Amino acid sequence: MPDVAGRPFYDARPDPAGGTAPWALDDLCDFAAAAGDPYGGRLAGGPFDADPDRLPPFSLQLEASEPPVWVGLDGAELAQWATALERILARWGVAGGDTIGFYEYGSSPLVLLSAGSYVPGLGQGATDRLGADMFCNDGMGNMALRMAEAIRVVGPSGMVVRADVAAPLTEALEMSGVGLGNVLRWVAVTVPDGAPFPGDIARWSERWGLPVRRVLRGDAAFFLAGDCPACDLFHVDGELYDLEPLPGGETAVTTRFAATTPAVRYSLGPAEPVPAGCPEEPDAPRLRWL
Amino acid sequence: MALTGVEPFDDLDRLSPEGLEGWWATRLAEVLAVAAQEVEFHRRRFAAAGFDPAAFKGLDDLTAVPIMRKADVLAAQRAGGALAAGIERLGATPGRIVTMSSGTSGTSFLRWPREWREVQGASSLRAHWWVGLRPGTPFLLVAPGWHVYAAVQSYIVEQLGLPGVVVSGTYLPRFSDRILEAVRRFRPRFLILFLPMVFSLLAEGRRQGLAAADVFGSVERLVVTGAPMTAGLRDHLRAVTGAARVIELAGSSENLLAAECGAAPGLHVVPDTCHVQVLDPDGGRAGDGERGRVVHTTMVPWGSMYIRYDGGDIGTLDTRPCRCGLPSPRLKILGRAEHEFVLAGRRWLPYDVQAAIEEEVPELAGATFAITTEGLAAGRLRLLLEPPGGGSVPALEEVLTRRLRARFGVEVELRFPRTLPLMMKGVVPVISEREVAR
Repeated sequence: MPDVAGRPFYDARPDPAGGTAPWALDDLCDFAAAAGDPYGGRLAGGPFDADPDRLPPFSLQLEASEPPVWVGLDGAELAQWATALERILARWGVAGGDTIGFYEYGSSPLVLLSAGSYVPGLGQGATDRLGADMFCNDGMGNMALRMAEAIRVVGPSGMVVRADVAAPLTEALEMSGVGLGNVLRWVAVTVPDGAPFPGDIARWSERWGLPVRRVLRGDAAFFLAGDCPACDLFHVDGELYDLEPLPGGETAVTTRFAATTPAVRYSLGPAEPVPAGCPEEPDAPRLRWL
Repeated sequence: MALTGVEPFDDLDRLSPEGLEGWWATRLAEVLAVAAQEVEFHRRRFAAAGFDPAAFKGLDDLTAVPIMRKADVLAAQRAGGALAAGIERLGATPGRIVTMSSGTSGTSFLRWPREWREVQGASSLRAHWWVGLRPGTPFLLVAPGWHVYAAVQSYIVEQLGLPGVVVSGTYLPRFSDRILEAVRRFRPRFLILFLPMVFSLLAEGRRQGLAAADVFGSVERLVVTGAPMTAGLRDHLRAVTGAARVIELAGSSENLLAAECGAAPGLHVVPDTCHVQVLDPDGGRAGDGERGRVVHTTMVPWGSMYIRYDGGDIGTLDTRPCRCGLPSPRLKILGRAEHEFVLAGRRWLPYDVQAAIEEEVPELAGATFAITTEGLAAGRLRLLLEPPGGGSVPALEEVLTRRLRARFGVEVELRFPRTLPLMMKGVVPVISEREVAR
């Protein structure tokens, strides 16, 4: 369990049992706004005061936060977070010689954790470790035609796409005469916080003519999980994350490797842990996103 | 040699200009040999041109090396399919990134192995050192995860031990509130931005009721890239941001890099990134300060290797010694050849119009403008103008029109659209009025 003593955010969230009360992104944003602390009170040593000596080696602004809240990491934490992505991609069959395309902002953890070239201190990113190459087209809708061209020319074997650019991408693919099913083995859809709706996934899968996978994200807690082609549930890496069912049908995660801005009992929202037992990965803890 | 303006990064910066020419000749011979041995695209082109890298003895021999253009890369890409243009030299280290070079002529795809990042990163660190980046400041990674510069920035941050900061979204005006928040929170002393983002941050600051000092108060060195900067624009940026130094840095995905020293006009070519020539219309070397096509050759024998690449830029090269002591010549990119236009029998670039506006009506320094193709077709200069700060200029309209007419020798028309279409690197400087109407 990461040590959270002396972190203002956690000090303000005592649990009757003596630990930390579960929290959600809104709680962190509210605390950050009230305290005027970009890290929302999760840094050691009190609120951040613009002292450059207190800055973590790497800081990332959470896309889903409003007002903006930041998380901090060092190289070791980045490497662990990248492990979560590496295992998702490996489960989806990514191997040496593949190229993975990202139609997602270059600031997305999915992109950053993919390539060590892009992140100071990361070393090897997820695709690097798998021996794969990667490219990113940035996540703007007006870049859809360029993404279609990239798919045609580069020929990635998998693609991760933001849900909000799936529609312009579909239009661009039709205009360009590019059929995803002819090029890719899979597409994964992501949203900045949580997971895309299953109904949308089914529609895109039918439209694009190939399997569409889902990513579950909780960037505030450095949480990443991908759904499993075999059981359709999200497999969670038990070495990185501890799951805990909460009253009311939610699930909290505690991230073992998060030390700079610890994530203890972060509520992922409406989700329920499912016992391990998938034939593809029998020991993996699983999660059903509701 | 003692430097008056720039602290040398290493001994390469201490060479004399003649010494650097010798260094370049040696390195170029190695790059050309690698290209001929290992890079199919160049092997074919060298053979077709009758160029033998073994015969390369000095910089004068560069004229025998065939010039390549983006169309050549696109054709090879089309013929080879996928990424088999045959222009890349890839190392054994896993983890290559693919980046894109876009433009009106099509998108080319470039591959960069980790071996490239190590060599190019060290060279780019030199450029950042020249423009004043030192340990002890947070560094906003302005091109996270999609631009080739992102790989270089992360290397620099690693080497200098800087705290790296990534803003969510992307570096377009729509996200200026988030970038502004990062600048205010982390107070970087050194900030590098695409030119339009400077204006977007100022506009966002005004929207939030902030003074420029509230936005840029910590910034001692503001490095601007993505568009050629005129003297008037530099003064304007200094005035509106309060940054002690506003510095231009120019680069391209195809391994062009140059940075300003501030002691003399132009940007010093970063010698271990590239060798640069500016060619006259006959293909010979243009004289100091004369305009011509910018042709550059990578000095990094990894990744996508661009050799004698004419990327479509117009610029000048000044080989005369610089007071700062850096030995490399000074390059000034003035614009894109595709944006060159003719008025009254003379060739011009949007840069010339920008400089003319600033010189004739200094109040309009920093104004965003576009030249319409419809006006040019009618033999006149028709400008779509967005005054700085969003103000109006009726009082200046008559004087600007009159002075530009005298300067360019044609009729001048000014129009004031509500907004101009903005791309990442700014407003496209020559544009159809139909584009604006859309």
